[in-house]
Amino acid sequence: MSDATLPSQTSLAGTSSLLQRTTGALCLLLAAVWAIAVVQAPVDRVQGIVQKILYVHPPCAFAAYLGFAMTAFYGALYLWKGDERHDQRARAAAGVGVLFATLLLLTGPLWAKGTWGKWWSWDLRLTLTLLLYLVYVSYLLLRSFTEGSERAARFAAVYGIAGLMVIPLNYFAIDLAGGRSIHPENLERGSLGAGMSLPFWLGVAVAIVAYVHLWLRRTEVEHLRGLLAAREATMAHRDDPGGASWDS
Amino acid sequence: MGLLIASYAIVVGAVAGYALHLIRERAALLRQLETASARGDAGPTQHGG
Repeated sequence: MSDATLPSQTSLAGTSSLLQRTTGALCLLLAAVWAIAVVQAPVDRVQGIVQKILYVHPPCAFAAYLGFAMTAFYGALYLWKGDERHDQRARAAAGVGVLFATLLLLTGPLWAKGTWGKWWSWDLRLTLTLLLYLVYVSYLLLRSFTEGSERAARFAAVYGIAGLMVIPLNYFAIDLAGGRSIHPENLERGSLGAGMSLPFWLGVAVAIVAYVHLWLRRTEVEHLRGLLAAREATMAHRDDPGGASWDS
Repeated sequence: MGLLIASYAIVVGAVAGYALHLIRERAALLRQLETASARGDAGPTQHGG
């Protein structure tokens, strides 16, 4: 890599910093309004106060779905264009998606304990959520074991696209279970009680903006890692042009 | 009430913690890039230096 990469690196950091600051500020603002809405939301007559986990648990699912959809989208772009930046974006999308899937799998059992009296059930929806999580954890493991390999990046892109199939299965699991699912049904228009829609949709907005903010940050980190690896490889080659390499 | 508070604390703490982790990692990578640039400018005779 030449020294000419440094100005572009600086300008990239500047552009993404502006987006990062904007999404960060928006996230904090929305989170403050969301917190007030959650406190003011009515307490459910059947479940009691623990039902308010509704305002944080499904939003984590939406953010995780978005993350995995973006992993597939940028993976497809990488396969099509061969641009390394798309691969970095796909990797960042999977990393942040797995964070939200982890939070989904942590808040779910807390809600289940409060309403069903047990932490976990091998219900179709819960099992498919765990499968979805493991699919993308495997994606990240694959990437960490094969750092810098173009072939692995192409394989991971295909894997990320294939993993996307679990999302509709996961979302429609309750319909597929045909009334045998212990998990509540998907929300439909008007299915939320009075005063519950605002905190719910605010929660979804906060999760989506938080996702985008973290994805922008993670993408920048992935880009900087790539720059550093390329620079170190160039310097190693320059210092020892005839030296042995892994490829030889 | 404990389960509710735990849910929100986990989510808010994880998102904020991850954002901080990424900020620190970015700073560390920028420092390493600066060091690598300085080494690159110094030329190929800087083995072990």
